[in-house]
Amino acid sequence: MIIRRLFSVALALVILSGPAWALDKVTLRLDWVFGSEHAPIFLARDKGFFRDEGIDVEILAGEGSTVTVKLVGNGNADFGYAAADQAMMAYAKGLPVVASAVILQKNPVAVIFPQASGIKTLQDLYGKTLGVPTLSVAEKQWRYVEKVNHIDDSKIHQVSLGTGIATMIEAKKVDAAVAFFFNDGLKVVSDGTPMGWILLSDVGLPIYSTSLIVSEDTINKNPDLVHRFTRAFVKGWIYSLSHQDEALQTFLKDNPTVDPKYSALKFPEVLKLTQTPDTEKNGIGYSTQDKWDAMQKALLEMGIMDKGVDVANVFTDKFLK
Amino acid sequence: MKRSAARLVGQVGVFTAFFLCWEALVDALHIKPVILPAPSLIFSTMAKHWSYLLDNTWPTLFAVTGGFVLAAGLGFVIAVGIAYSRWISEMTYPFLVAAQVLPKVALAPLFLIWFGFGLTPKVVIAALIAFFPIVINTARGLGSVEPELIQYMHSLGASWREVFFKISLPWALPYIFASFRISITLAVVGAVVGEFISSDNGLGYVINYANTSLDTDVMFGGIFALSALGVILFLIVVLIERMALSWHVAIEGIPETM
Repeated sequence: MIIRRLFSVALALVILSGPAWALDKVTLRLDWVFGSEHAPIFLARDKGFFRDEGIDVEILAGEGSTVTVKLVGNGNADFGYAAADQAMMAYAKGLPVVASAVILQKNPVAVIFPQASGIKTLQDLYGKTLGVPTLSVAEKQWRYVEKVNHIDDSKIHQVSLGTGIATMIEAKKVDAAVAFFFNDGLKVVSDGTPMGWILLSDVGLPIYSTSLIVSEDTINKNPDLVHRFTRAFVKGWIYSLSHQDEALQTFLKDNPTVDPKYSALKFPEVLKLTQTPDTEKNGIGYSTQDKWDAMQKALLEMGIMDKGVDVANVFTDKFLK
Repeated sequence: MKRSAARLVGQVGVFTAFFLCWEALVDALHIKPVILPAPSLIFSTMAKHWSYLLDNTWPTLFAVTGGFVLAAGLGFVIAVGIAYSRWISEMTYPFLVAAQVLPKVALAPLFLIWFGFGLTPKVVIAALIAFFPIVINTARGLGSVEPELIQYMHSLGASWREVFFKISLPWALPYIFASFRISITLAVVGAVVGEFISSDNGLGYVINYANTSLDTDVMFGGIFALSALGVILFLIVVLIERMALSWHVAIEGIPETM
C-alpha cells in the first residue's frame, strides 16, 4: 500500500516536472557580440517560443560569421546565426551548412559617411579618404561594387581599417568607410554626428545576409528538431515586428551593459532589412533559388569562391512552414 | 663535431615526429581541411603560393626589424640611466613594470589613430613589446660589473668613457644578447598584432584574411612562414652574438633573466 502510494507520488512528480526533462538542449552561436540586432532571439527565448517547441536554447555570443559557420559545420554548436555568403563559402570548402531561414534579406554592408561630407553618390568619394576593412570579405564586396559601378579606384584614397571604424570616423581619420551601417554607422549617430550611407545591396551587390544556419548532418539526423527550432526562431522575428518596443526592452533587460540609446537607434533599422516583396508574400526568412544563384555568381566573380556549388543544397525554405 | 651532428638529427627528428603525429591524427579522425588541414596539404599550399607568402613576408620583416632596432636603441639608453643612477632606477622602475604588465594588444586599435595607417603603428607595437627585456637585462648586465675592477681602472687613471667601453659594456654584452634573443621573437608577435588590427599586406594580413575566407590551409601557410621568419631572425641574433662574443670564454651558462 505504502509502496503503491510512494510510487504514485513519484509518478506525479515526474509528470509535473515533465517539460523540464523533455526539452531538447541546444546551443545557438550568434555572429557577433550581443546587440539589439539579436533582440528578437532573446525575445523568443524569454517569451517561451523555444520552450513551446520543446527546446531549451542557450544563446552564445559570436566572434564573426567565419567562426560561427566553422563551429556549426564541425558540430560544436547546434545552430548558428551567420552571414549567408559565409555559409555558402563553407559549403564550397567541404563544410556542409544549410540556411534554414534568411533573416536579414539585405546585406548591411554600406559606405558610411558623416552627412556633413556632402557625399551623395559613389562618385562623390573621388578625392576623399575611404577606410576599407581589408581583413574581411567586406573588402571584396566593395571591390565588386566598384567594378559594376565603373568607379575609378585610383581616384579614391583608400586605407585599410580593422575594428573601431566608428572611432576612425569620429577622429576624422577617414572621410568615409565600408562597414555595417547599423553597427559603425549608427554608433557614430548615437555619439551625435548625423550620418548617411549607401548600402552595397542598393548599388549592385545581390547578396543575402545573416541567416539561421544548421549543419546538413543535423538536418539528416533530426529534421524534426530543425523544424521546431526554425519555427520558434522565426516566430521571434514576426512577433518583434509588431512589438518592437517589447523586443527591445527584453533585450536591454537581458543585456544591461549595452548602450540603450544606440540599441534603440539600431533595432528598427535592423528590422527593415528583414522585409522584402519575397517575405511579404511568403513570410519572414523566405529565400529564393534565383537570389541564391545571383549571390553565388557574385561570389565567384569576386574570387571569394573558386568553385560553385548546387545552391539548392545551401538553403531550404521547407522548415519555415 | 660528431656530437653536434647527432644533435641536429635529433632536432630534425622532433619536428618530423610532430608533423607525422599531426598528419596521422587528421587522417584517423577525418578532420576536414577547413577545420585543421594536414601538414602535407599545408606544405603543398605553401609551395603553390610561395610568391604570395614571400611578397607578404617583407612588410612583416620591416616592421619586426624596425620595432626591434627602436626597442634596442631606446632600451639601451634607459638601461644606462638605470644602471648608473640610483635615482633614475628607483623613479622609473615601477613605471616600467606597470608599462610591461599593460596588455599592449588592447591599445593596438588606438595606435591606428595616433600613428596613422602604414608601417608606423606596427613598428611601435613591436618596439613596445620587445622593449622591456632589453632594458632589464642591459641594466642588470651593466650593474653586475665587479666594483674592484672599476676601482682598479680608476686607480690607473682611466676616464669614465674608458671604463664604460672597455669594462662595463663588454661585461654586459652576454646579458644584452640574451635579451636580444627574447626580444626579437617578441617583436615578431608585436608586428603581427599590428597587422591584425589593420593592414593590406604582411603575414598577419595573410593569416587574418585567409581565416575570413575560410582558406585554412593558406592561413597555416602564413603561420608557418611567420614561424620560419621568427626562427631565422633568432638565428641571426645568435650568429651576431657568437661573432661579438668570440673572445668570451664562457658564453654558456650566462643567466637569462626572462
